[in-house]
Amino acid sequence: MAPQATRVMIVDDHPVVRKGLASFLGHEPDIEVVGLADSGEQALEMAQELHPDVVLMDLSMPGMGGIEATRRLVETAPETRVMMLTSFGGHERMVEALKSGAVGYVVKDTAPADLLNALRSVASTGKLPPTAS
Amino acid sequence: MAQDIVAPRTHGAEKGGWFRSAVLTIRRLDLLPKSPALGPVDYNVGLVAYVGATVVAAVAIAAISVLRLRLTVDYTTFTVAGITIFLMAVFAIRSAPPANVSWVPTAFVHLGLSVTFGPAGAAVGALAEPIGVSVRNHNGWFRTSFNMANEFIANVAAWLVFVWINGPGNGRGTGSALMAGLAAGFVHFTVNSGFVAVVIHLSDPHVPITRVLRGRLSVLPYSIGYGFAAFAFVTMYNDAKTVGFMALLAPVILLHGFLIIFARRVNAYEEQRAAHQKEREELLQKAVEASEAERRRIARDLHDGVVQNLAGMAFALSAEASHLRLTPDDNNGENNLLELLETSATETRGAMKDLRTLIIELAPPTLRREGLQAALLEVLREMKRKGTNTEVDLPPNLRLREDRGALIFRVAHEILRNVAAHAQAKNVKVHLTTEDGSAILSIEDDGKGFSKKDVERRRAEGHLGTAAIVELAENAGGTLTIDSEPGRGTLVVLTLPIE
Repeated sequence: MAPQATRVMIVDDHPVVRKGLASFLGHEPDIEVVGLADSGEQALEMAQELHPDVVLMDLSMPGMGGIEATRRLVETAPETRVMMLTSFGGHERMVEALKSGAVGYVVKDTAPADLLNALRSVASTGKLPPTAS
Repeated sequence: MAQDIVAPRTHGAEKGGWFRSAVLTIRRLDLLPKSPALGPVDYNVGLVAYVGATVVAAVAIAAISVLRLRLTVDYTTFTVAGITIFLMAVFAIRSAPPANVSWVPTAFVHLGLSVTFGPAGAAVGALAEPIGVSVRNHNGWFRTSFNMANEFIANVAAWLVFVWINGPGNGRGTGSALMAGLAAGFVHFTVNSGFVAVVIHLSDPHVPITRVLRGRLSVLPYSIGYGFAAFAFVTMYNDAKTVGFMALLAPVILLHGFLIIFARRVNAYEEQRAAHQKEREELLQKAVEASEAERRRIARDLHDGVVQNLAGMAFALSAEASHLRLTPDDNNGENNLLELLETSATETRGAMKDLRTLIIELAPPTLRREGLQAALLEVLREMKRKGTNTEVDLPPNLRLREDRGALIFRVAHEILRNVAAHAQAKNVKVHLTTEDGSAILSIEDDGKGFSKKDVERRRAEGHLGTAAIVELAENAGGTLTIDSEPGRGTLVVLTLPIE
């Protein structure tokens, strides 16, 4: 049986980021982008139906931010792993992100190869690869 | 308060309380802001014993005088001079710093009464003035009795010295009377100052006697004026009796009136200056806040707009690149396109990194949430990323009031921004310590430094950053020194009271 593709959901309030990220991940054979959400609220709703393996969650969004959305998502769907995406942030917000249940965070300007690495590692081991930050 | 002024008028008229209404009239006429009221008396044993002894001594001197001396009494002069002293005390000039000129004109009349009439005249001055002061400042019986006793003893001492040098009555002639007057003035000043210094020390042991005396030294020259007044009053009274005394009283009253007007102007000027200063500080504060708000807005816009678009674009470019890679073709043009896409994606990510640095410089995100240390480290981390060696030394458990922390950060941020923009420094040292209730921040770099001319040129170009933080530091009661020379780096030291 061929290994199943990792089902990824992307949550970001910026359409350009959603689209860019979706098309970038879409080219990877072992990754399937199953849903795009533009807010924490929508992400929670969609996750109930889609049961993604990994959620790429933007940290700062209007309304329910990434941290609160992660907290609820982890509660309702513990099998889903959340990876936080940030464009930048203070140290404290990172700590908060991890406390909310995210397995790790990745800065948006990370090189694409590193992002894929991180995503695959999270999907298979539930942890970030040791080198990623 | 408006009510204070209007209500008692009808009240006084209804009840016919003439004294009350007179006092209220005086208060309405009060031309100057009142001096801050003295606090309640702290009745410690030493103070009570000292004041008691002074009062007993004064009463004893008065009794001896009544029993043993033939007192000279001039009812007209006593009444007019007494009322004059009383009114001068009520309308005292208290607010003309730095010279303590408040009691000069009353002392002229005191001396005149004392040396002309002896203990009886001394008593008139010693009664009239403390009553007037009490009407004005609500001193209470304890302070008032001390003041009476103290003034009486000083007056009698002045008279004794005068008589001792000049002899009784017309004495030994003009020169001798002048000398006697000057000596009397000096003795009055000294005795009075001594009594006051001791009583202040006893009420508040933290005030050493010497400090009070040193303060009084600044008005010592006025005792020469007392001396001339004493001499002049005696001479005028000897020549023209009551009329002579009155004639000399007139210029003293005029002098007092002039001093009131003068002090009032000084006071108005001081108030105006303080108001201007306050307005200036508020404007500056607003300007700083506005500029911060503006910076935060720009940072937010950059973050929410440009940075996100760049992120999306970088991913999209990478997506196209992988698409191209996955559908290999021998066409050279496509290889070039792949390279172009990958370079563009890398460049875009580079631009994001630059913007991130810029955003942190514009509006460090951490100060409010994580405090001074974290915010400073954040700024320094960005400098380090750009290749400057940074050395930080901050107290481990620093607790600062929020506004102090914000000010220290604002200064440090501005200075570090200047260092990053202009200094081309290899090393920057940031050092923060607290000692004796002050925070001392020093920022030292080994960059190219600058001269006064550079500062003037930048100011002429409209850069006010450093001037603004110097002023902010000073307004907060601190100091900011900037020490630099071309080629020698720059040392900035901020000292700020933090309690």
